[in-house]
Amino acid sequence: MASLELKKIIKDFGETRVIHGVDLQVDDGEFVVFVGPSGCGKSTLLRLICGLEHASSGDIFLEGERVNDVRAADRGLAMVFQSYALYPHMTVYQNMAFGLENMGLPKAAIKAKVGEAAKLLRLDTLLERKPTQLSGGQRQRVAIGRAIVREPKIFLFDEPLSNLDAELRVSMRSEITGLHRRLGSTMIYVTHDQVEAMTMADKIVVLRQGRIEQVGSPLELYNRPANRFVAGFIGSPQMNFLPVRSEAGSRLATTFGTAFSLDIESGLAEGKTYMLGVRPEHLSLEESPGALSLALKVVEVEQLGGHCLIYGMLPDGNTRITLHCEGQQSTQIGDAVVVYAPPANCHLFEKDGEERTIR
Amino acid sequence: MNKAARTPWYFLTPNLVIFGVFTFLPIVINFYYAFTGGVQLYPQDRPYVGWDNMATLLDCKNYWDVSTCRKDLFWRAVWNTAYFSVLQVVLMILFSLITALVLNRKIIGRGFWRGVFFYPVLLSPVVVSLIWKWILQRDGLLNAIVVAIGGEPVLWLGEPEWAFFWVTFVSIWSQMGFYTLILLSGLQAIPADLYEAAQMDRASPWRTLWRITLPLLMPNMIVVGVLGAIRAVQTFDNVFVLTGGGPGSATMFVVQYIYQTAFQEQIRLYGIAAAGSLLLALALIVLTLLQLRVTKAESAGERAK
Amino acid sequence: MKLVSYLTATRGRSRLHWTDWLTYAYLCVGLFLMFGPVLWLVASSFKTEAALSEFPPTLLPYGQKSVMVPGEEKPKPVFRVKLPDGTMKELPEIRRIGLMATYVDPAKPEEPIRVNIKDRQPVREFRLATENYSDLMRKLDFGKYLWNSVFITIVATVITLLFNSMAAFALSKYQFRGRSGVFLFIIATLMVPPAIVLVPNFLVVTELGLLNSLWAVIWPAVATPTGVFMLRQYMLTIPDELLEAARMDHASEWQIYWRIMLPLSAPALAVLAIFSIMWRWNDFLWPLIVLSKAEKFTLQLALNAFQGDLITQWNYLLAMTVITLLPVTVVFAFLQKHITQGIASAGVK
Ligand SMILES: Nc1ncnc2c1ncn2[C@@H]1O[C@H](COP(=O)(O)OP(=O)(O)O)[C@@H](O)[C@H]1O
Ligand SMILES: [Mg+2]
Repeated sequence: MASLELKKIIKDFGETRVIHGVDLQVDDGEFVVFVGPSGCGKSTLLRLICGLEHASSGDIFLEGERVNDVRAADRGLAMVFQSYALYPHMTVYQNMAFGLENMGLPKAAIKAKVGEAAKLLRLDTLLERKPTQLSGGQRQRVAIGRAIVREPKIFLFDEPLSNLDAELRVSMRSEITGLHRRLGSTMIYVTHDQVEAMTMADKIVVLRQGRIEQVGSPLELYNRPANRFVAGFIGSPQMNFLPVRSEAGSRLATTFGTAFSLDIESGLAEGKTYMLGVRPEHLSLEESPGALSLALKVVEVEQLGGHCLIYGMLPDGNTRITLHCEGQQSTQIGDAVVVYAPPANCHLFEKDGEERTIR
Repeated sequence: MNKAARTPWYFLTPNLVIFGVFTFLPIVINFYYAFTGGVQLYPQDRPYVGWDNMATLLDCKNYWDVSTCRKDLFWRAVWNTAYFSVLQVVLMILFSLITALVLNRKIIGRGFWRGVFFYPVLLSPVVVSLIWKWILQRDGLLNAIVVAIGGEPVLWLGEPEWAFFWVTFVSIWSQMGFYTLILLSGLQAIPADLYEAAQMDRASPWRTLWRITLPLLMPNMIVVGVLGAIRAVQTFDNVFVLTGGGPGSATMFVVQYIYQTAFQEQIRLYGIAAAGSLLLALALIVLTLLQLRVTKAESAGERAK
Repeated sequence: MKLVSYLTATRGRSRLHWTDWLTYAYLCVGLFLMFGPVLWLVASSFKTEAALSEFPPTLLPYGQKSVMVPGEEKPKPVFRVKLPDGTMKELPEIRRIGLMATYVDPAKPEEPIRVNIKDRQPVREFRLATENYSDLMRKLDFGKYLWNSVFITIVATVITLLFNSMAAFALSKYQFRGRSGVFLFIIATLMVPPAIVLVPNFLVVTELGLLNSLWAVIWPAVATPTGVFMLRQYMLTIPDELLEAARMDHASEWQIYWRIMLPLSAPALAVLAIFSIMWRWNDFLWPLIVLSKAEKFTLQLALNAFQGDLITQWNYLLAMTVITLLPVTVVFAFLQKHITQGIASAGVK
C-alpha cells in the first residue's frame, strides 16, 4: 500500500514525444483507472511508473521517495500484463513462486504464500497445470496471483481483460474490484473501455495524446466533463453534439430554426457558434417546459427489450442524434419524431481550441 | 558504461571471442601469408614478397590452355571446378525440381518419400564416397551388372571422363535432397487458389506448369542455384575420398589444390595456398553478393504474393 | 500442392491415372537409387573377405558351410563331392594335398575318401560374417576413433548451443549501441567458409598449442553464424512482456536467459542441436589438417586413412562405414519430420 506522485513526466521515444508533462497524485488505497483511446500513452505511463521505461524528464515519487533510478524489480510494484506474460514452460505454482524464489524466500514461506493466493483466487486445484491448459479467465487469475504473492505496494494492470470474452470480462471486473476491497491496496488500472473505467474506478484519469484531460470520480466526469473530448468519451452511447448560435438574451438557436434559452452565469457573446451536448438518456419524447425541441427523421431503431435506442437525422441532414428511451417503442424507420432536450441536462462547449466546457 | 549497458556484451563475449580468434584473425593472417613467401609457418620467419604469390598463380600465357601456365595444376583445378560447378548445379536443379514436383503431387506417404530423397544429405562425405567407391570398383556391383547384360567391365574411377562423371553424379546424389526440400517448400507456398483459377481458365497441366508453377518458383530456384554454386565451388571431401583428385589431375579441384599445397607436399608453400584462398574467396564473395541480391528480390516477391 | 490435386481432381475415381503410375515409378527408381547403395554396403559388410573378392558378387552374404568333425580342432569346410561310385554327397574336407582332397563321412569316420578336387563344389549357406564387426573392436583402434568422434560431437554441440544462444539472446532482447554492427559482423562470417582460412587457422591452432588435440576441432567450430541467426530469429518471437514479468520478479539477467529464454527456445535449440551433431560427426577437411596422429583420428579420418592403405581390407572398411552411418541413420529415422522441417525453415545446412 502506498501513495504515488508523478511530477512533470515527459517521455520521448527518439524524436517523438509520447507523454507531455504529466502531473498526477494517487493516494493510498485508491483504485485509479487510466482511460483513453488506443495509442494515447496509457501503457507508456504505466510502464514509467513500474520502471520498465525511463522518464525523459520529470520525477516519480513512491511513498514520498524519488524512484526514477530504482530498478523495476526493486520498486516493489507488481504488474499484470495484457497478454498475462505467464511463463509457458512453468506450472501455475512455479509461475507464482518464481519471483519469491528469486528474492530468496525459504521454500515453506513460498508455499504458504502461493497457497494463500491460490485459495483467494480459486486456483488451488490448478496449481500443477501449465498455462496452456487453462482457460482465459484462469490465466488471468494466475497473472493476478503472481502479483498478489509479492505483496506489492501498488498493483498495476495493463488492459488485463481485453483478451477475454464479453461475459467473462464482466465477472472478472467485479472479481478485481472485490480483490481491491479485500486487500485494500493501491491499484492502477489501464483500459480503453470507458465502461470498465466507470464501473471500477475510485478515480478516473482520462488521457489523450499523452496529456491528462481530466481527473475525477466517475460521476464527476459524467456530470461535469471538462471538455468535449471527455464528454464524448465518457458515457455510452456517446453524447449527442449539435452546433448552436448564441443570440440576444442568452438564447441559443439551432441551424435549422428552433431555439431555447440556457442559463449561463458568465453570459455568452452574441453571434458565436458553440457545441451543444446532450446525452441520449437525457433526451425525451415528451415535451417539458423550456426544452429545446428537435425534429428527427428516424434512420434506425434498436430494440433491446428493456430499453431502446432510436437514431434520427436532424433537418440539417448531417447530424445524427441518438435517443435512449425506457421500455419498448413502436417507432419505425422513416417515422418523424420530435425529441426534447431539457435545459437542465444540456452541456455547452466552445467550438474551437480546447473545446472547454462552458456549462 | 553502466551495468545495464554492459549486460548484452557479457552474453556476446564468448561467441565474439571465438569468431575473432578463428574467423576474423585468420582472415587478416591470410592476407599476410598471401604476401609473404618461403616455407616457414611462423609469420616472423616469412619474407615479404608482395604480389609474387599472386603473380605466380596467375602467370599464364594462355588461360584457355592450362599447359602454358606456371602453376598448371592450379589452373587445371580452376577449370575442373568451374566445369564441375556448372554441370553439377544445372543437373542438380533439374533433378531437384522434378523430384519436388513429384513429391508435391497427391501421393501416399509423402513424408516417407521425402525422407528417402533426403537421407543421403545427412551422410558424411566420406561415407558417401566409400559407398560409391565400393560399387564402382573394378569387381564392384556396377561392373557385375554391366557384365551380366553382356558388356565389358569398365574402370569407372580410373578413366578421366568416367571419374569426372561419377564425381558429379555422387555429389548430386548426396546433395539433391536438400535442394528438393527447399523447392518443395517453395511449391507449397504457392497459393492453391491460383491453380483453381487456372483450372477455371481451362489451362492444360503443361500450361499450368509453365505459366504458373515455374514462374512463381523462380525465386526459389535462383536461391537454390546460388547456394548450390557456393557449395560446388568449395567441393573437397567427396572427391578427395572418391578419386583423390585423379586419375592424374582429372578431378582435382581448387580446395584440394590449396590443401595439397599447404599440407601435403614436402615443401609446404603456405603463401601460394593463401593466395589461392584469396582468389577462391573472391569467387565466393561474388556468389554471395549475388545471393543477397536474389534473396532481397525474393523477399520483395514474397510480399507481393 | 496443388498442381496435382488439380491434375487428379478431374479423375476422381479410384482408378490411377497414367501420371500417377509415372509418379510412383519415379519414386520407386528414387528409392532404389537412394537406398540401394546403402543397402548394398550393409549387405556387403556382412560378407567374409573371401566372399568380397568374388566376381560377380552375390546379392546376399553367403559363406562356405562348415561343420565340426570328431577328432579335429577347427570346423571343416563342407563340399559337394562326386564319390568314386558316381553319387553326390555333402562331406567335410579334412585336408587337401595337391589335386587330391580327403573327406570323411561323419557316419563312417574311420573311412576317409580321397577325391580329385575337380570333382567337388563348395557348399554355401547364408551366413552373416559378424566377425567383421567384432574384429574391428579388437584388431583396430576402432573404439578410440569412435570415442574421439563422440567426444567432439557432444562437446562441440553443447558449447555451440550455449554460446550461440547467449549471443542470440543479446542480439534479440537488448537494445544497445553496436547491436546491428555485431549482427552484421556475425552474418558476414557466414560468407567466410572454412575452406579459405585453412592456412591461417592452422597457424592459430598451432600457436594455441592445440595441434593434435580434439579441442582443435571443437573450438573453431562452436561459434556458428547459422546457429546465432536461427536462434535470434526464434527468440524475436518470444514476447518481451515475459522478460519484463521476469524482471519484475527479481530475476537476474542470467536467470532470465537460463530459466526463461532457454526453455522457451527449446524447439529452435533442438534443430540447431541436430545440425550441430551432423556437422561435427561428418567433419572431414579440418580434422584432416589438425589431427595427424592416428590415436586422435575421428571415425571419418580413420575411414579415409584406412581406404587409402595399399591393400584395402574391404571387409573391415565396410563394417566401419556402416557403424559410422548408423547414428545418423537412427537419428534420422526418429526425427525425420523435425529435421526436414527445420531445414526447410532455416534454409541452411
Ligand atoms: N518502444 C516504443 N518506441 C517507439 N514508440 C513507442 C514505443 N512504445 C510506445 N510507443 C508509441 O507511444 C504511443 C503510446 O503508446 P502506448 O502507451 O502503448 O499506448 P496505449 O495507450 O494504447 O497503451 C504510441 O503512439 C506508440 O506508437
Ligand atoms: Mg496499451
